[in-house]
Formats: sequence, structure tokens, C-alpha cells
Amino acid sequence: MKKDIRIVYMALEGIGDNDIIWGLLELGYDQVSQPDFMITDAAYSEADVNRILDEIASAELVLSKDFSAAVAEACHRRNLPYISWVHDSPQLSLYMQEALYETNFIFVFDKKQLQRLQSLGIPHVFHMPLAANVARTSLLQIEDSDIERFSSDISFVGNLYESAGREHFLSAITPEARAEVESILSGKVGFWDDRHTIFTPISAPTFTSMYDNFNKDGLDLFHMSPEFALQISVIAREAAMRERILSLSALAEQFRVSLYTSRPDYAQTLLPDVNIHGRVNYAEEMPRVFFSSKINLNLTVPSIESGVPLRVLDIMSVGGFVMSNYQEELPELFVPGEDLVLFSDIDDLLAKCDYYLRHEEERVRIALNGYHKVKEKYTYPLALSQIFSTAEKASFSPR
Amino acid sequence: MKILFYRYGSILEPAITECFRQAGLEVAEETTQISKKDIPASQIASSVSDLLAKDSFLFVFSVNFFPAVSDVCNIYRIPYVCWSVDCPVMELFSPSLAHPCNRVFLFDRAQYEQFRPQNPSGIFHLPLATDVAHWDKTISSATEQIRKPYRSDVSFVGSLYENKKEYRKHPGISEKTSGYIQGLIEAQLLVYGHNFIADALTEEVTGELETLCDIPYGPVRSYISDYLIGYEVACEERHRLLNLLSEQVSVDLYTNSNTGGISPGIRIHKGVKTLTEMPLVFHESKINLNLSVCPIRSGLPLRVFDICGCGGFLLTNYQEELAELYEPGTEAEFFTSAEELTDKACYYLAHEEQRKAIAQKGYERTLREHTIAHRIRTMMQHVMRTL
Repeated sequence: MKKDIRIVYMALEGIGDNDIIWGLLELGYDQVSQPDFMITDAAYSEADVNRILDEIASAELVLSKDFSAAVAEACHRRNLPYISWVHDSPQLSLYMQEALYETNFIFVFDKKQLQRLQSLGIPHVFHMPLAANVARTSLLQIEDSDIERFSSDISFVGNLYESAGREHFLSAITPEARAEVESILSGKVGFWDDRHTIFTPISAPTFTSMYDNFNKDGLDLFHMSPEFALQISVIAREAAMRERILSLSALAEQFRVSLYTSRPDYAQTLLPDVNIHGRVNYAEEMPRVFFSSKINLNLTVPSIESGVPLRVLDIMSVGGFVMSNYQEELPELFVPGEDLVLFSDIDDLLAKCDYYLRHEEERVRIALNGYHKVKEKYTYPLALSQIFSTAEKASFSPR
Repeated sequence: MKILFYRYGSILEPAITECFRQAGLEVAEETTQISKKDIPASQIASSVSDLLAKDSFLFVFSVNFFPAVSDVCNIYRIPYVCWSVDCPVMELFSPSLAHPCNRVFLFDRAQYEQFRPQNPSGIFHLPLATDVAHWDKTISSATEQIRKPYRSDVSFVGSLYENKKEYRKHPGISEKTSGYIQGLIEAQLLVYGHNFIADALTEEVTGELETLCDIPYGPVRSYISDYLIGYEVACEERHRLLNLLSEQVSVDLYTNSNTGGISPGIRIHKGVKTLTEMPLVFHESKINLNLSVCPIRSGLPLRVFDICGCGGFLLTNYQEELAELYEPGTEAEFFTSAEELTDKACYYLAHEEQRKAIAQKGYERTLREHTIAHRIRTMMQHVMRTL
């Protein structure tokens, strides 16, 4: 692709970084512009489309992190290729009609999600693992005071997925349904391998009780089965919450554990022995946490079925040591035990944390390997050039 | 034994319910969608799942395929039986078509061949049919005075689809694309029994139409070939054939469409009520025309069975499945070109005895093999075998 192609990068609401722009500039694309407004990913108005149409009037290619139905609609009207690199799994807006346009080139990081989207008949959807902005993290000046502020034996950056609606929901469904939800959860929570999953069939009466009590506002925008809707929005979140509480509280019995999360007060009541901190910002504070922690935990939300979440790459990109739950695609990207360490249950997690806290040299070597692997293989410029060549092979032609 | 009938208001539903009842099944009905169109999928799923939770059913049935109903039946592991009577149907492209609970009966064999790979053990071919007993009753109870206004030489009952051409008046459409489509339509109009529109669409044309048209959920190419161009072919075909025919014979047209493009020589009537007036038109016309819409690739539309079931003489465009269901020349007549249509119309208007004999034989065949009861019986055999 020629380097002077006019690219418009659309920022979606909720996406705080501009790492894709970094990557484009690193690759030598110098005609990149970005509108000064943000756009929604799902529901949109005609005014939104018109606003986008104004911005892309002279564009040859439009790009965004995550998929926006409004941007897809605008590009489709102008017959303009729209590349979206999806960082959420699943992203609900991919279940909208606009995802089916031939002008879209959609990249998702989870192979199982890819299969689901292919079965919807989305014409151009591909697999692309996420990347880290190594150029940005390499520029970080990390001071001793940072390390002092953020140091811990084990840290985790992420939400607990608790919400007011959740308790209300669980108390509203029938006792039988509640028991079945518990049984689905106990078949997954704390086990990370290819066998344990939340995506097991829900029995009919449980489905009815759950679906009756499920908040269906806005759901009809998305063409997905009602069972899948329950799995990703109720069961996956509940499983994520329990896995996080279970793992962190078990670790806190033996080690110095820090959690960086939204709603820290509430988290503290759930996890009295963990050092709870408020949210850290993505570009400045989070890499310092990763750098300053001996072990960085990755706990993947179970709606990501097989893919490698961004957190793993972000930790490695600052030379942090990753202790991650097993995910099917992790061994495809990294060598377990060399680039990072994987655990498959709580006992395994505790034993491996204990081992690597005692073996500093091995820990540092693995962290360094991880850093080199990301720097060599999973950077934005590399990923973007693969995205462009995949799209070009799939009959994509910039205007 | 009880079944759940998810109803949306198809004209076939009451007769099908009656067949199920005669077969000894108790029929519970969910009827919300009859009066309230465009119910969101989540609401369909919710109401069907509430019904299935409360009671036990042998299977769930609907006329046409509803993905949300299938999703719920799949969870309940209860067979979902449906008879798809429309073409084209975007719902068939839903991933829900692959659910093992489905027993989907498609009336068009080409459509069946197209979708069967998605669910080989759950998709069947089942032609349409008609309710002869109902027509008999309606026709025999109509007095001479009521019948009289429906007498005609050649009649046609149906839409002209003139509103389906709007997409080509879009100011954004290029001359090249418009010309390509025009050429495609002209070519298709000359060919009977084979639809090549989808295969002949270039990426350039679909790409351009995609940007200009509002396309509902489902594959774009199928929507363009069936809904946009397919209906435009039907529109052109109906206008041209009716106008041409009216140069030679007297034609009566029953339609609610805008008749601006119709020759002044054609007698235009407003649309007829399907259950009460339509049978009188079919019975009282010397020749009843059937013009299938182009997206129906091989099967016979409902009108064919209705005409024959009313004892009317049928002159239809050639469709691949015609010879399997009626004996051409003995039970019904067909044409494969505009010329043949005019020739046969003139011939049969002049040969009353032959015409009446064919209409009678067509009626007998319908009564013997093509009633809704026959189809429900066939369908039940398939369903029972796989319960």
C-alpha cells in the first residue's frame, strides 16, 4: 500500500489510546488524520453518519480500534474500505447489520469469536492477535519513586465486574435456575484449560427464568441467539468476578497482593487482605505498575473464549513478568515457561507464584524473553502491516 | 398430544390448524404477531419460552421460519417444524437454520438445494398446496348474480411490484450499473425456468447498490439479486406480458398496485379478498394467468394451486417443478415465451371444450394430491420419523 494514502482514524467512545496512529506513523504513513470527536460503536443516528461522511470526504481508507456501526454505514455509502481491529470479545456491534457490508475488513483477536462471526455471513472477518505499543513503552521514564509507589509481589489491574444489577438478577430467578447457574459456574471458575467453559447448554426452564429477568433493553439491535446473550452478559461476567475474587483472596493469604480497580471501596469489602488501589490510567500509570510488580497477574474474562487479552501484551511491553491463566491461543503466540508462565487452577497459581517469587533470576529472564518476543512479533507496525496485506488479499482496494 | 402454533397472520394458518386438529392434535396458538407486526426477536423468544415452560408440546409449528422461535426450541430440545411459503426469505440465512431441532419445509426445490447443506437432516422440500374444500364451499354458495361481475376471458390477480423499481431511480446510481442491470433484466425476461441474476452480478454492481440501498440483516448479494433486481424483473415481466396480451385478447387485472404503466385496453379492478372474491375470479375466468416472481427459481407459487383448486383453467409461465405436480397440456398449460403466451391464450379462448376439460382435470389432480391436508400429512410423516 502506498505510504501517502489518506487515512482517517476514527476514535470510538471508550477507547482512550491512539496506539494505532503511532503504528501508522512508525510505518511511514504520513497522511493520517483524526476527527476531533468520538463516535459510538453500536446505536447511531443519521446525524452521526453525516458527521462521519464530512470527515471522510477525501479519505481513501478509514481505520478504527473496535468496530463502529456508524462508521461502517458511512464508509459503505461512500464505497470506502473500513478496517476495524476489534479489542473487545465479543464486541456486540459486530452482531449488527452494518457488520455485513462488503466495505468492512474486520479483525478480531479470538479465533472462536471469528468462527461465530463467520457463521453470521460477515464477508470480511479475519483473525489478528492484539499488539503492544512498544515504541511508547520504551520512552517511559520510570523513576525509583515510581517503583516505590507501585511495587508489590503480585499485582492485578482490572475490574471485579460487580454491579448492582447482578445481585438483583440472581435473587429474581427461580431457585432451580439459580442452582443451575451455580453449577455452570462451578464447572468453570478456577479452572483454565480446554475443557472447562461457561459455554455449556443452559437447560430450558433455567433459560426461561433467566431470560424473563434479563434486561433486554437495546438487545434487539444485535442479531445473536438469546442463549449467547445470557452467556456473555450474565454468566461470563459472574464467572469473571468469582475467578478474580477467588484468585486474589487465595494469593493474599500468602503474598503481598495489589489490585488496581474501579470502585476500590467495594473491592476492599470483598478482598480485605488485598492492597486495593483505584484505577490507573492506561498510558502512564499502568505500565509503571507492570514494571514495578514482581508478578503481574492476567485473569481473562471468560467471554474471551480462546484469544490472548491485551493485558498480557501490555505487561510484556514494559518488561513485566506475566503469570496468566491458560488460554488456548497463548501457546500459539508465546512459549509457556520461557516467555511467560501459565497456570491451570488455583493450586497451580499459588505454587507457581511461590516458585517465581523465590527464583528471581528465572523470573527476570522470562520477563525479558516476553519483552523481546513482543518487541519482535507483536508491535503495532507489524500487526498493522499484516492487517493491510490480509485486507489487500481479500479484494480490498483503497479508493 | 398438543402442539404450539406460532402464528403471524399467513392466509394458510387457519386451514393448517384445522388439519392438525383433524389429525387428533390439540393446537395451542401464540397469536400476538397477527395484530402486531415487527415484534422484536427478544420478545418472540421471551413469549415462546414462557409458553414452553408452562406446558409440554409435541412440537412447535409456524408458517415461515422464525430464527428466534428456533433459538428457543433449540434450548428446549423440542422440534421446530415450519413450512416456508415465501421466496425470497432473508430469515433462512440466519445461523439458527442449523439448529438440530429444526424441521424446515421449503416449497421451492432450488431454495431447498441451496439451504440443505446448512442442516441436511432438518431441511425438506414440500410444495405448496391449497384448501379445495374451502373454495368449493365459497364458489357453490355464490349466486349467479354474485359470480357474474367476475366473468372474463383472461384474468390476472396479483401485485405489479411497481414500487420495487425505486432503487434504480436513486440519483447516485451510475449509468454503467443501471445499464448493466437493464441488460440483465432484459436477458432474464427471455429465459424461463432458470434464474441467473445472482451469478451474473459483478462485484462492482453489488458494491454500488450496497452503498445506495437500505439492506436488511442478511447477505447482500442475495438481497440484491432477489429483492431488488428479482422483483424488478417481476415488475417488468408483468407489465410487458399483460400489455402485450391485451393487444390480442380481453384482459382483467385485479391488483392494489399503481397501474400507471398498464395499457388502457386492460380492465383494471382493485384487489380481491383472498378468501371470498379470489375464488370467484378463478372460477369465472376462461383463462387464469400465473406469473411467478423471478426469485422463485423452480417451485410453483400458491396462485397455481389456488387457480386449479377453484376449477379454473391455468396458463402459467414455465417452472421446473410444474411437470412434477400437474401434467402439462392435460391438467394445466404453460408458456415459455411472450409469443407462446399470446398464442395459447388465443387458442384456448377459441377451444372451450378443451379448456374446460383441462380445468376439470387440474381441479381433480389438486383435490387428489395437492390439498393442504396432503402436505400436512407428508410433513407429519417426516416429523414423526425424526421425533
